[in-house]
Amino acid sequence: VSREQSPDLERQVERALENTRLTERLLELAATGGSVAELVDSELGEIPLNEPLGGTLKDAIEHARAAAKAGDSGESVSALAALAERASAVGLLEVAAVICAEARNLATELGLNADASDLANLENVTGLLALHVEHLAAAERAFSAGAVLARDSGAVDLLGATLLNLCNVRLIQQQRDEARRFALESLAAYREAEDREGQAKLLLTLVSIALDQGDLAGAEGTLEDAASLISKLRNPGLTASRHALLGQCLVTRENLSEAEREFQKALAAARRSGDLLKEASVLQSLAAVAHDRGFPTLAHRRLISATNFAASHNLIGHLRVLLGSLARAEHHAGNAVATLRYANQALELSQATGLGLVEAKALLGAALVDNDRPEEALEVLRGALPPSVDGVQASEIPMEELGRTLHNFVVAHRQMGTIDEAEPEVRNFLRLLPQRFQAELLELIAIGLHSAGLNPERATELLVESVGLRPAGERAWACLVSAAQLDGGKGATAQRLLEIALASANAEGQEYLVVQARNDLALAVAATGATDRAISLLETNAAAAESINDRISLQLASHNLAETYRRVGRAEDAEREARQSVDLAQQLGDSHALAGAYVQLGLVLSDAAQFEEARLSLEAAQETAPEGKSVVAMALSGLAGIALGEGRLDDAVKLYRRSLSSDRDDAVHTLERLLGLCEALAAVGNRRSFNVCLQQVVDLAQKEPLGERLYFGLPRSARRWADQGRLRIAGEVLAVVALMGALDWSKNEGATEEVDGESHLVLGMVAIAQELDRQASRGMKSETTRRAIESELARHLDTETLALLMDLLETAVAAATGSEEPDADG
Amino acid sequence: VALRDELLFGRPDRLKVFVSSEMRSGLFDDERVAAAAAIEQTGFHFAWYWERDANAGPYSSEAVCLGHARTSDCLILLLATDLTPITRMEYQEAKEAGAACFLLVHSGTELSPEAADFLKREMPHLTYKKFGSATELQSVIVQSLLYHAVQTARRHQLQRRAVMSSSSGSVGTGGLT
Repeated sequence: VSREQSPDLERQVERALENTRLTERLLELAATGGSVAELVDSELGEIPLNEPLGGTLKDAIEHARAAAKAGDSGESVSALAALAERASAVGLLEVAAVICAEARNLATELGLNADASDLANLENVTGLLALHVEHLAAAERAFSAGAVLARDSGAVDLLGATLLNLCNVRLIQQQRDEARRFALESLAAYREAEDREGQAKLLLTLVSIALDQGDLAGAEGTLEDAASLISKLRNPGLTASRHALLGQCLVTRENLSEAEREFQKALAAARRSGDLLKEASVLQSLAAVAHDRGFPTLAHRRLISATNFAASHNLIGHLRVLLGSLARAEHHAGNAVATLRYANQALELSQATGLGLVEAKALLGAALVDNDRPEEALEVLRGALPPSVDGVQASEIPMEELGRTLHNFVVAHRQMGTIDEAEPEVRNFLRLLPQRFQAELLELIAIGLHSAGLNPERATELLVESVGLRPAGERAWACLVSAAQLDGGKGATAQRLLEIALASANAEGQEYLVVQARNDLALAVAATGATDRAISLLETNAAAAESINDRISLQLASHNLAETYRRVGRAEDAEREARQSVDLAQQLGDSHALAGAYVQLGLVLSDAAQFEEARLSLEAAQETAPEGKSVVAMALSGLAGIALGEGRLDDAVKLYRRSLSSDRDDAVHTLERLLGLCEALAAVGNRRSFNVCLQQVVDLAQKEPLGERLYFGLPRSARRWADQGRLRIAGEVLAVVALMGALDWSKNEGATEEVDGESHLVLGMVAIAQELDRQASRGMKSETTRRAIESELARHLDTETLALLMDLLETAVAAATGSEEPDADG
Repeated sequence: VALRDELLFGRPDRLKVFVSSEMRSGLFDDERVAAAAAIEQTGFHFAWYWERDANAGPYSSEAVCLGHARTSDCLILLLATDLTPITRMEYQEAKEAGAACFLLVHSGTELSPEAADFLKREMPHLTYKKFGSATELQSVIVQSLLYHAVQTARRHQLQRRAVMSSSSGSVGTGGLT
């Protein structure tokens, strides 16, 4: 796929844009007559023209005037009209327009002497010219006037042509019933005129309408009727249309290779006919079918070639659609800059013609999102939304387009950091969308709100609302995926979603999702301390897996049971499950699961102070999955913990460092390793490295919701400093704990009761109070630590907040007096 | 003809999961049906597998399979001993089209040297798991699809967050990117 727009194509597109604007002005002349010479002489005369005419616009006008001078008669009007039609068909729209204008002036001079059928012909050509530049209102006026004149003059073939063109206008306006009415009237006229080519054209138009309406059988039936007529006519234009429409039927039937063959035949016939519009349509179809067949590079090449063709022949309608397709193709090829350029050009063309504006704005908005320019994206996307939803019926607007626009709107808000403003803007439009779109949008907003920490309570409400909008069979999976995205599936919102997932999967008989939901729910409730329920859920899963001999689910249950038992200090149960997990992973031959199981067994044994076997298990983990950087990092971290426990402090520092350099993908694990390294560095008394590590902890904690770990981990470093008699440093570290707690509290202010009750500020203060109490009980000067905390806090806080925090600390100290020190694992 | 599938940032209704395996010996007949059932139990995916989804017709089965593999969101390749040329091509087509690929190997069999080479070479591009029975296959499919869905969503989220960080001028993103 070419990554750059070629200079040639760029020039062609620019020129086509200029020509469109110019033709708009000339169209006015074509429809009304007037001072052609003045306009041409003053501004336009030197415009170069494409082949086959060549020369300048002024030259072409000389030819037209010469033709007009052949005789001031109706025939001259017709001759000029025919000349204009030819010029229009080869893309010389400027020429066609001025010739029409000259013909119009001549007809005006002739007045009543002008022949109605000649005038009808002129109107028809003017309409075609307007259609060419997508000026639908002007085209409709001209064709309607032409039809009246043709009917008056009894020119039934011309009547058929103007009615057919009116039908085409209605098709572009997507008024299919009206289009069909005009088509049938036109067919009647052509039959009356015994014009077989006209009849064939009409049948093909009816095929097109049937395809548009999704009536494939009707389309194929009419196409067969048309085919027998066309085969006798030997008209390459009609042959091209027949093959192209057959190609479209085959695309609908997903027989893409046959469709490709039909489009190739259509292209050859279109080229023989010299009909540029047909050729452009077929080139466009060939690009689309290549895309549908899964050949993006070929599709892109064909799109470029079709765009070049449309631009070089001023085929504005095709060019507008093709630029949009090119923008999409570049997006799929990952080229955001080219996407934006084509989307911009597509919008310029839409603005010039007044057609497809909403679609073009939606596309440009998406491209701006893709280019991380959310502010501009929001402005453009607002222009693609209905100005008001009052009285708008869902059936009146294209749902998918609106759904995508709103989706991009929300993404742009997320990019801007204003996701909390998205819901009020989007909410109005929701009722217009199918429920699936509504659910996706609400989910997107909710997860955005949650991850930005802006309004977790609202995020929960939106997620629950979103789940309710989904079909019953989708709810469990939607909940599982959403829950896993929220705080690693551990927070209150995740828990609520997982409860819904479990209930829903049970109700729908989705047994594998039941197992998954039970497992994830167990982990979520374990994180809140409800370990009994977690164990019960995991044991249910283990029993179910065992009954059907599903070792994969059983291994997962054992692994998580071991972790949960470990957390509540049931060392024997933890060891039994961890060994079973290792055994099952070995049976399954799953090296990744086995490495994880070895790590866990190592940690369980390490907790039980069985350091030698723990070390062997952790080393086995490294050997089992040397390529699995996360497992290796976990094993190294476990070995570091053992070294720290055994007092091999330098080893601990080295192992934590190696663990961190192996893997930093998971923020929670990274924080745990940083906290371990902090403790090891504090234990060896390396203040400089400790400060660097502490800063990394603070930076990470500010960006990620990391739960409670910080409030149990950092005080351990403070304890190490205190045990060396460096109470000021211990106080500074504890002040960081208080500050982080205060920061979390301020983020969660006004959140749920549950969050307030469990707020990290309280956890932090309790941990600090317990350390102060520990120091006092061991005869250390805890007052020094307390003063260090206060003076460190004073550097960051105003007097009022400082006083508030110190009061809180005093309360915590009073409560902690006599209590035990925090459990090492929280 | 509109470029129908080009839905910028849009999601199709269901994600298409192509079930690929050697078929002639009938070794995985039960597992293929079981795999499709697990895939579709999610409500978010539909399985494409030959026995059910290929239309009868006078066109090449190879072309149809490759076409579907190429246009799938995920490919699940069941493997016992060796890859057939067609399954290898299906994998290649899906991988090149950016689909998530899962290689699920029957634990009771031994890979041929060619298949082992293939696995070693492709390991960075796929999710590799083992299973011993149709039931275990279903469990591993649900776990793998969920893991994939969550990872995809998280990657998207982290990218957006990194953009927000740089545009708001806040401190660096540490390990986020």
